[in-house]
Amino acid sequence: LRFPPAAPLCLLTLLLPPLRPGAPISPAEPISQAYSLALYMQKNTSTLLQTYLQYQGSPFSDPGFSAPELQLSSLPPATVSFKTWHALDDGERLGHAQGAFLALTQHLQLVGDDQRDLNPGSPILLAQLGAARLRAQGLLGNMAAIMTALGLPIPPEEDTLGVVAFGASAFERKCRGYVVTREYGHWTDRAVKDLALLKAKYPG
Amino acid sequence: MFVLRGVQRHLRFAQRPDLNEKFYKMSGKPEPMAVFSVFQTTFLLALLSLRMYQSQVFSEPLPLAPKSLEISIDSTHQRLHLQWRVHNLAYHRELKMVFQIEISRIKTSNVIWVENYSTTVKWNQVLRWSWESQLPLECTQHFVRMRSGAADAQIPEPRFWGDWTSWEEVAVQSSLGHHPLSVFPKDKLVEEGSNVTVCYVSRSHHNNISCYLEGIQIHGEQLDPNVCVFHLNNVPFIRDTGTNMYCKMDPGGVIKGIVLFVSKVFEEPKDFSCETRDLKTLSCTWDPGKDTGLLTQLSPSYTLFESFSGKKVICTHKSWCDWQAAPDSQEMYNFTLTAGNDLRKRSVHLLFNLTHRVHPMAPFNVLFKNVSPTNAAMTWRVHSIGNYSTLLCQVELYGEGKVIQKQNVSVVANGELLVRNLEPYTEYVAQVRCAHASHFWRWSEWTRDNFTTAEAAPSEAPDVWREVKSVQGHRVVTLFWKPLSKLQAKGKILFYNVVLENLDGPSTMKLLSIPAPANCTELALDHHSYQIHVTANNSVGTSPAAVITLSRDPGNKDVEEARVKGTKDGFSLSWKPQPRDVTGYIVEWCEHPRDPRCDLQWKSLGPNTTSTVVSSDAFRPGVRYNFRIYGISTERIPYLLEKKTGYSQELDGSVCCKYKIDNPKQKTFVVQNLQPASFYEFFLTPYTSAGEGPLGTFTKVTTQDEYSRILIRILVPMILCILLLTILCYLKSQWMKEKCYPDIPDPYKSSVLSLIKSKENPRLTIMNVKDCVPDAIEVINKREGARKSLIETEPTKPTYLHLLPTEKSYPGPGPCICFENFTYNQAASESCGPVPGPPKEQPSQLGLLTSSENVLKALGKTYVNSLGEIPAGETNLNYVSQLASPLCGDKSSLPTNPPEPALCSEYKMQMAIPMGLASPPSITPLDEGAAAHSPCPPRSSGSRCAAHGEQFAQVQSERGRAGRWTLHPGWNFQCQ
Repeated sequence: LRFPPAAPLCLLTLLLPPLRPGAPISPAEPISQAYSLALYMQKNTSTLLQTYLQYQGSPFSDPGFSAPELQLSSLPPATVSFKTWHALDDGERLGHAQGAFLALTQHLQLVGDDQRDLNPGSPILLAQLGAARLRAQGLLGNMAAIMTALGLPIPPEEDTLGVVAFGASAFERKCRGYVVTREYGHWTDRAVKDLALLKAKYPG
Repeated sequence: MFVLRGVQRHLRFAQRPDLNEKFYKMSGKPEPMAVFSVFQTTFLLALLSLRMYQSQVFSEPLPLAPKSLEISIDSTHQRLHLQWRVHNLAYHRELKMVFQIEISRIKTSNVIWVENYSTTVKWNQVLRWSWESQLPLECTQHFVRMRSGAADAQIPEPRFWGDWTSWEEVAVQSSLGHHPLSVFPKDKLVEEGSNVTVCYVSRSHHNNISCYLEGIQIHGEQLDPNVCVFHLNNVPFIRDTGTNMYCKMDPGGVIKGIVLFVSKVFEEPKDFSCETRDLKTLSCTWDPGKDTGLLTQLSPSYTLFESFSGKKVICTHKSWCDWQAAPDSQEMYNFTLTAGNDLRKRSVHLLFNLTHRVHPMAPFNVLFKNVSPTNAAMTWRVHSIGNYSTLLCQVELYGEGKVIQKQNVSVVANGELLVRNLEPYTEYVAQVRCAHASHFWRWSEWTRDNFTTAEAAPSEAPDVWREVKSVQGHRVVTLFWKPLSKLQAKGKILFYNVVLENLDGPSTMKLLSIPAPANCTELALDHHSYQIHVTANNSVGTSPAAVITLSRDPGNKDVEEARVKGTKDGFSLSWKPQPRDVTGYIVEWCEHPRDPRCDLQWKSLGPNTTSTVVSSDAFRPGVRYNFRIYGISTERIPYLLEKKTGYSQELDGSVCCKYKIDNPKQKTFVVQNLQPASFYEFFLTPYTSAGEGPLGTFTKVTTQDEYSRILIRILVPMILCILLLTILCYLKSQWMKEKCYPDIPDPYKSSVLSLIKSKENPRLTIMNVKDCVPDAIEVINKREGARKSLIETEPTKPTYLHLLPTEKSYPGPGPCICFENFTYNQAASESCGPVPGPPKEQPSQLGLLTSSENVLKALGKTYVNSLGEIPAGETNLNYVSQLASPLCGDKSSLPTNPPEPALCSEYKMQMAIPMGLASPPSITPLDEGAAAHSPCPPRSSGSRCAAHGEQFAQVQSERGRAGRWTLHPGWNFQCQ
C-alpha cells in the first residue's frame, strides 16, 4: 500500500496520545489532534470517492453519478438535522462519531476485500481504500482519547457488519462500496464540524 | 479470487392429487372432457390387451410410475436437477424405460419444455435428469411433472404412458425477500458471443423502470406485469472487470444491476507434442493460446489422459506436463489433452510410437586425442537410449568462425572421428549433436569444445632487408625482417637465427640468435663481403633461410632521382626491366621521412615485376617520400636501380607554396611571411610553355626564432625610459628633496608653545631634568638668527658630560619617559614618501623596525634644511624623538670617540607615556617628565645622541596614536 508521505507520520503522532490512559489530561490537546486529522482526512475523501466510482463502470463511472437513496443498514447515515445535531451533548456527539467510524473501518475493510476481487488490477484504488481505513482507525483512537479526557465511557467495539457480507453479487458489492466511500466522506465532514464545536467549547 | 457459488435449494413438494388427475398431451394443452372419455375407454381397452401380451414378457405390471420426485435448483447455472425413483421394480430386474418430463413457466398450462428421457432402470435406483433454463430461474416460477413409459423395442409406438406426477412448482423468487426491484441472473459468467437472457422483477408494476447496458438504455419484453426480460445476443468482451447492466426505478431512484462477466473464447491448445529423452519420461508441451481475460474468475485446467493405459494426470503447468512412460510394456501412446474452464472444454489428441519421439540428450565427454599439426582424433559419449539404439551424430568443425568440415557418424555409446586436413598451430572448435538413427525425431543440443593443432616447422623464409650506414669508417648494417604470417610460421616463432658468412676471408660463420618478437638487428661489419642467412625458428623446427649478400662495394652509384606523384591509393612506381639476371626487386622507403628514425619499409617483388603500387596509412599529405628500387642479383646482392621522390598529396596554397616568377631575368626572390623557427625547403625549376623542368635539389632553410627580436623591442625602450628618469631626477634633485624630505622647522617658533603656556594647564608640566638620569649632556650654544650659517660653518662640537657610569645602577622605577613618534618614522623610512603633513595613517608597530641608519640619514638631511628654510612656528611637521641608546655603541668609547655616526644610529620612535597613566587618553598634555627626541642636529650629525638642552612635549592626537609634536624648551633625554 502506498500512502502520501506525510500520512503515516501524521497518523503515528496522532495515535500516540491514547496510549497514556489514566493520566488526567486536558481535552483540548486530543480535540486539537483529532481535529487536525479530520481536516486532513477531509481533503482526501472526495478523491477516494471519485477514484472508487471510476473503477466500477456505468452507472457509477458516469459523470455526476449520485444515488443518495442507496444506503446500508449496517452503516449509520451522517445526515442529521442541524437542530438535533446542535443539541447533542458531548457524550452523544462523540458516541455517534465513534460508532460511525467504527462501522466505517469495518466497512472499508470489506470494500477493500471486494475490490481486490472485482478490480485486482487497480493498486491505486486499493491503496486509497487502505489509507482511508487507517485514517478512520486513527480518528477512532483520537476520539477515545477525547472521551477519556472528558471522563466519558468509551463504547465497546461491535461487529457492525454481522453476516451480511458474503452472499452479495458483484453489482451489490459495487453499490456497497459506493455507499461506504460516500458515507466516509459525509462522516468525515460531520466529524470536522463536531470537533470544531468541541474545540471551541474546550479551548486549550 | 472470485468464486461463483451456486446455491442449490432442495425443494420437496407434496404430490398434488388434483394435478395427477389431469392428462397432458405433448402440446401440453388439455383436451375437452368428452373426447377424453372416449379416448379413455379406447386407451383402457388397448392397455388391457397390451397387458395380456406383455404379461408373457414382463412379470411386472406397466407402467411403473416415478415416485419421490425431488427438484433442486442451481441458480448460478440456471439448472434444475431432478431425481426420482421407480418403485415396484422387482429385485435384480433391469428395465428399459422412458420418462417424459414437462416444464411449464409462470403457470402450469404454459409448457415450455417436453423431453423423453430413456434409460435402463435397476431396482432401487435413483434416476437423475437436469435441465438448463435460458431464463434465470429467479425471474419467474417453473413447474415440472413427469410420467413413465416402457421403452422396449418390442413395444410399438404409440407408447403407453403411465400417470403424470403432480406438478412440482419451482419458485426461487419466493426466497428473494421483498426488494422493490431485482435483476437476474447475478454475476453471470459467459463466453463472448453467447446469448444471455436477463430479467428484472419488480414488486409493483406501477413504477417506471428503465434498464441500461454499459450506460445505454435497452428494452425488453414483458413476461408478466412485474417481470421484464431482456435478450442480450452475441455479448462482446469489453473488460476483464465485467460489464454492468442495471435498472433504475422511478420514483424512488432504486438502482439494481448485475455484472456480466464475459470471457474471451477459450482456445484449443495448439502444437501439442510429446517426446522423450531417455524413453522413461515423456514431456508433453503445448501452446495454451490467448487467455480468456477473466483469469481470476476462469482459471483454466489441463489434464492428460492416455487411453491405452487409462491413466490420467492433472497438469500443474499451463503449457507442459510430464508422463511416466513404460518402455518395456507400452510402445504406443494415445494422449488426449483436455483443457477446460467453467465455460468450455477443449481436447486435442496425439497418437505415437514412443521410439519415434526420441530427442536424445546432448553428447558429453568431447575429447581430442593424438592432436598432430594436421590431424586430431575426436571422441565423445552419448547417453544410451533403450537397448543400445544407434544414434546418428553430426560433427561440425569450425575454423576462424566458419564451418570447414561437416560429418555424420553412427554411434551406439562412444563416438569417434578422425579430423584431417587441419592447419598446424590453429585453434578449431568442434561441435557434435545426435539424433535417433532409425526414427529421426529431433537433434540433441550441440556439445562443443575447442582444440589447437600441434606446431610444425615454419614453411617460409622471412622477408629480409638491410640498411647499410657508414659510421666512423665502419660499416653498420641494420638487418630487418618481417614477421611470418600465421600460415607461414606454423607455430609460435621463438627466435631468429642470423648467420654471417665472410665471403672474402677464410670461411668463417658467425651465428646470432635473436629472440622473437624482435624484427631487426644491427651488425657492425668490416668491409668484406658477407652473406647473411636469416631463419625463423619455432619449437618444432627452422624455416628456410633468407639470404642477402653484402658486397664489398657499397654500390651507392649515382642514380638520377625521378619524380612520382602520389594518389590516394599510394605511389605508383615502375622501373626498367634489368637486362641481367635478377632474382627479384626491392622497393624501400621511409615511412616517416621527417623523423630521424625514418622507419624503413620495403617491399619484395618478383623478378618479372617492373611496377608496383606502394601504399601506407602512414603517408601524409605535404610530406615528400623517397623511394629506392633495388634489383637483387643471383648472388643475392642488392644494387640500386632507381630513385623516386614525390608527395603522396601535394598541398596547395599557403602551406606548400608555389611561386611563379614571370620575369626570366629575375635572379632573386624573397619569400615572405614565413613562420619563425621553422624548417623550409626551397626548390627552383625553370618552366616553359611546354611545362616544368626536372626536379632540382631542395635548399633547406630554417627561419630564426622570433622571441629574441621581440625581447629587444621591449627592452630597449624600457632602458631608455629609466635613463631619462634618472637624468630628470638628477636635474631636479633639489625639488625632489623638498618634496620628499622637507626641513624640520624651528621648534622655538612653534605656536603651540605659547598656547600651552597661556593655558597654564596644571597637568602639562615641563620635563624636569632632575627626573631623568642622563648619562651625557650635550651643551649647545644657541645662536639665534645665525642658524643658516651652521651649514657652512664648521658645526660646533658638542660637549658631552657623562653623568652616570652605568645605567644598570639606576635603582627603582625610572623617572625617565621614552617617546616614540611613529609617524615620523614612516616618513623617515620611506625616504621619498608623501609630503609631510598631518599624519593620515599610523603605520603598524612592525613598521618601526626599520633601518636606523636610514632614519638617521633622513633626519640629518631634513634637519639641516629645516633649520634655514622652514619658518619657526610651523606645526605642520613631524618630529622624531630621538633616543641614543647605550646599545648603539660601546659605552666606553662614547667619550673618546664622540663623532662616530654609527653610535648615533639607534633612534627610537617613542610615544609619550605619562607616569602612572596606563593608556594614553585623548589630548593628554604631557607632564614635565615627558620628553621627545629630536633628530641629531646638523652639528651633532655623526655624534652621539645627547640632550639638547631643549625640552619637547608631545601633544597627542585624539586618537592617541598619531603624534603631532610641539616643542618645549627643555631637555632631550636619552633613555635605555
